Amino acid sequence: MRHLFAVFGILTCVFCQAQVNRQYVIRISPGRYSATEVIDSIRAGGVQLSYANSAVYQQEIVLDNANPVLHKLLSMLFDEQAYRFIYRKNKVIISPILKEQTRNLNGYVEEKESGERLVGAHVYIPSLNIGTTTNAFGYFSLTVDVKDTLLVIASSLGYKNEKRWVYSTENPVDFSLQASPLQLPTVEINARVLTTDFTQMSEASFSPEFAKGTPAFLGEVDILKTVQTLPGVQVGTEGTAGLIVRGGSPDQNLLLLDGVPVYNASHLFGFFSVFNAEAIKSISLIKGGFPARFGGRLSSVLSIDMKEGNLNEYHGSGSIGLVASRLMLEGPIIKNKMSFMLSGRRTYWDLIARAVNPNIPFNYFFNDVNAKLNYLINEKDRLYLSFYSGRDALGVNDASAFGVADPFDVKWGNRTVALRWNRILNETLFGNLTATYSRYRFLTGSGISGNGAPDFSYKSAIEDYGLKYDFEWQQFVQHKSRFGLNYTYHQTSPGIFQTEELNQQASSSNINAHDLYIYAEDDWAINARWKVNAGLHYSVYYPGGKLYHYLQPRLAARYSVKQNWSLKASYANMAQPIHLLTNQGVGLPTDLWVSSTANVAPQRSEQLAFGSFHHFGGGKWEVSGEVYYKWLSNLIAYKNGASYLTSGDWENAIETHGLGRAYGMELFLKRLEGKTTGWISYTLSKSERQFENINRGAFYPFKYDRRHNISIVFNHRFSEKFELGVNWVYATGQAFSLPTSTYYLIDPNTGGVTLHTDYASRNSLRYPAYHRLDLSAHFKKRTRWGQRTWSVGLYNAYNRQNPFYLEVVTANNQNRVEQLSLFPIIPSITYGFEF
Amino acid sequence: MALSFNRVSIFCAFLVLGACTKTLDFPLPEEKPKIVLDAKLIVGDSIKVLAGISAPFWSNATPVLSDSARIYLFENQLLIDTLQPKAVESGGLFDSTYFLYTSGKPLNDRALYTIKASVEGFPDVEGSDRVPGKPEPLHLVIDTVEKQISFSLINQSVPAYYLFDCYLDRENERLFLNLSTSDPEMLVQESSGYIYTGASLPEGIRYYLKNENSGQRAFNFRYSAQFDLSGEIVFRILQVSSDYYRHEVSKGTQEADVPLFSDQGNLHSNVKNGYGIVACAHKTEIRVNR
Repeated sequence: MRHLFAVFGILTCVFCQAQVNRQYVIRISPGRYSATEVIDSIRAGGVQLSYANSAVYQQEIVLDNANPVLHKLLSMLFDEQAYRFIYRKNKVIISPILKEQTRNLNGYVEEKESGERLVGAHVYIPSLNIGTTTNAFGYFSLTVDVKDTLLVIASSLGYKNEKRWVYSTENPVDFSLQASPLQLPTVEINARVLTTDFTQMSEASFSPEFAKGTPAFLGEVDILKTVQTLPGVQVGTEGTAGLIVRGGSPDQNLLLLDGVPVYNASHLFGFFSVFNAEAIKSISLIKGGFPARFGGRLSSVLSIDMKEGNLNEYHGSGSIGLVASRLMLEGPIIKNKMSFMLSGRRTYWDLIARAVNPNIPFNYFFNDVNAKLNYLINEKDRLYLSFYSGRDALGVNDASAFGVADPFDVKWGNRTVALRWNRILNETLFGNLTATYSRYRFLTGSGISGNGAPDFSYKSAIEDYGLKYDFEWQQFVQHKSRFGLNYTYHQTSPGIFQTEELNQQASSSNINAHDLYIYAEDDWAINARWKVNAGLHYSVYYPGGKLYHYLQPRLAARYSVKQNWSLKASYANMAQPIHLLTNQGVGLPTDLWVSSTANVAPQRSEQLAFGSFHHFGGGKWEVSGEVYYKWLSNLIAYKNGASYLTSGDWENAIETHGLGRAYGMELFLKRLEGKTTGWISYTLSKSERQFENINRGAFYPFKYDRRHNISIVFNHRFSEKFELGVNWVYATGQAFSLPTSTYYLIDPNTGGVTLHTDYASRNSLRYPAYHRLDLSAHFKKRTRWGQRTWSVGLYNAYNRQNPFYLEVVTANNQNRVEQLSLFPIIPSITYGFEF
Repeated sequence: MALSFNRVSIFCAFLVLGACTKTLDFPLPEEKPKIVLDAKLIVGDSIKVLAGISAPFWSNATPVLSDSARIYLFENQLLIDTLQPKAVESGGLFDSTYFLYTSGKPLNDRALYTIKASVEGFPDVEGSDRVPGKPEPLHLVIDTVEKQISFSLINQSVPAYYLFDCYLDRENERLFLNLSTSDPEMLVQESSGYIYTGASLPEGIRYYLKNENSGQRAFNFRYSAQFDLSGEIVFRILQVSSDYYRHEVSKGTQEADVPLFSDQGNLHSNVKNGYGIVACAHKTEIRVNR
């Protein structure tokens, strides 16, 4: 730990030097002086000193050099172990360090009704003007140097504040916040904990309740589609739930469900995400300035936590919509001790279709199951067991032209499990031990062979087993430290073809890889203006044949210009050993997750970001602007013409050593609370790629490079019974290529010539711009058993024909460009209920 | 109610919920015609250069082969010859006589060659490439019974680029044999021209390798043909330049582009102001006498 602080000391020395008073030069010649003479010299230099006479440590001082700096003189006069020097303009206060008065306040903040722990709740001591926020488990820890009884306030948006006098010996201190009767479905940001307070930048969060209020495609609430409206985040292809964050690729997003990576977050070929809003408690996205505790992806961390389950009462909620129905149940198993949450979702087109026609030759459905157990072992220990399983299945059983059964099946799905053990190790140290399991599988087969098995089959999978231990430590007033380690065992099976009748099998080698990282970070409140989060993330990856290891420094700083205005900067160095091979970027099940190998190195990135953050209107409004520059290296991509069906070894189907650069500006105006909540975001960005064998080796626009992105997302609550949601998005058209020239080249086989088609440059053309307006209205009514809501929506309200795909059609020697559009105006209706 | 569904297409139609098409007023890219050069300069072979003019893809114009180009050959930046057109009977798709520009000058090891071309009405073009070292096979073993050939090569540069093929040398005729190997790093080219990136494909007529490791590397091929193998079999080992390799591979993989979603590729070129390639190679021929 001493080493850790030494590192932090070095990292933050820059900031220390920036304080003029420490370096203030005192005019004094070398020689032997009494303490009084030295103090007089300091005062003669215009510096006021405030100290107790008993604090003077050395009565006689020998100076070797002329004109020493003020801090050096003070450290000679006073014992630095016992006193600290507080610089205030031209004054220095010599204040005793009262170690015996340092005390720690820690505990949990929970919702009173359900006992559910509140993430991001604020715990604040007004008399000391210090506070902290609860972590992902609702836990907080504050170290203060005042032993007296203190007034402590706990607050969270949508809840009544709880004020308590906490006596000197009282610890732990738990708070139970009662939902405000005026609770509104607002953006979950504490009114007192504003983004201007944190060092963390490039972060956004919202509650699932907010997402439920926004218009939804076919009435199916999808939190990833709300994430797509945040600045710096783009959609891959229309209607899909893929995320493109700050010019990154779809695989560069770490999607964590209760801390477990989810590899394919898509249902229905990307049109819906796997995250069921009924089961979700909180959503947070980080696009840059990544703290050291995160790693393994280059572009973003999307952290989604499931509900824990009500410890006191049984409750439920659900909906019946055009696409799917959902149901969530929660309640105590042992009151105030153990709770459960169980949620399911299923589509029913297949059931309806089969009811209409039992011989219908195709069948599709997806389903999700989320479950969580929450067990309070004692005051210090708590266990969580989370489970998610989602599955898509498409089957077509059509007769061929010869009347022979010719079935075709595609199945894919994720499964995740997390077992977490929270323990308050002591009053300053909190530990969370997590065991994780994550699996994604894709399987397709067609035909029937003699033994009834598919004539042709293809499957791919990735499976992770992980164990991590995270610690939060707050021993010192101004420092909040995190450290931990993580080990993951990856098993990837990139692709196995099997032809049953020919008894042939071709597969890429399975890769088993060891993935280990350790990290340490410290959030240091240097003074009222400066806060720094510095950390190191060290990762080791061994897929066999070659060991990769990377030291990834992270640094974020905040300078508070005024109470409601802060400037922030961050640097993050990242490595990603897992890659996604995709042509589409829409989250298709055919996308292939592959591990780095001895020949394919992990992807790397560095990102610099600067931002200005401002709150106004009593904290109800937030406006921010950020600029970023991201360098990417060791990127991979399919070679031209290669796809998941390329047989043999995938390593031969890819281009490696690709470079990327992405930069842009993001503006964000957010209304945090009130009857109207939501945001307007604008992103100006550019993203490019370079591969040796693509575009003649020159940089070219990334497929999802979109110069302008605008999103306007608002919910307005007219009354307790009626709410309106509005969503308008605009984006520059997607980049694409068309052939430009034809010419003859020598055919090496025949010695003759053959005709070839060529492209002037990759992705030099653009689809028409994309824009769309969605509307929704929610009619709520309280009933004897709870509340019901009718939600009606209009997707693409002004029926814009947005481009999904452009094609050049030639007829009668004339070329014309035809645009395929997917979704016209689509109404929806959903019935929701809570009890 | 009898419904007739057509596999996945029906499902997709259901998905898109009324997907529609419309014709756009979209300006198609207009690329001006440019001079095209195709010059594969292989030490030991005579110099032959194809010159032509490209056509804009989205026009009714067609590309042409030129017999009126002025083509100059430079060795280490010194002009050594002006190439002369020579009529060639067409093979392949081009159904007429065309012209190749030839030179009797020998090519020298490690020399830098530049070809400059001009055609009236078009900007001049030029391309340069350096001849790589001669591949020297070691531990050569030829098994004419099993139809196998094995050898080792020492990389003279990193990365080194190789091309392997095998043909039956008959009078006025080159019949390429099928080759197969279990070498997972190879790219294999079918007779159709398409280059497969997979390793487990059984046969092709040409193999490419980008070898990024220094030192010695072993190779093993089997050859076969569906025709009578009477005649002299020539196994060619070419050490090719980076431009040569990139052009051939980009040409081969482009054949496989699927329009929907896929990223179309352009052909690698080192011809300034034009299209095509000027690329050098150095070959070793192993003659398998029967």
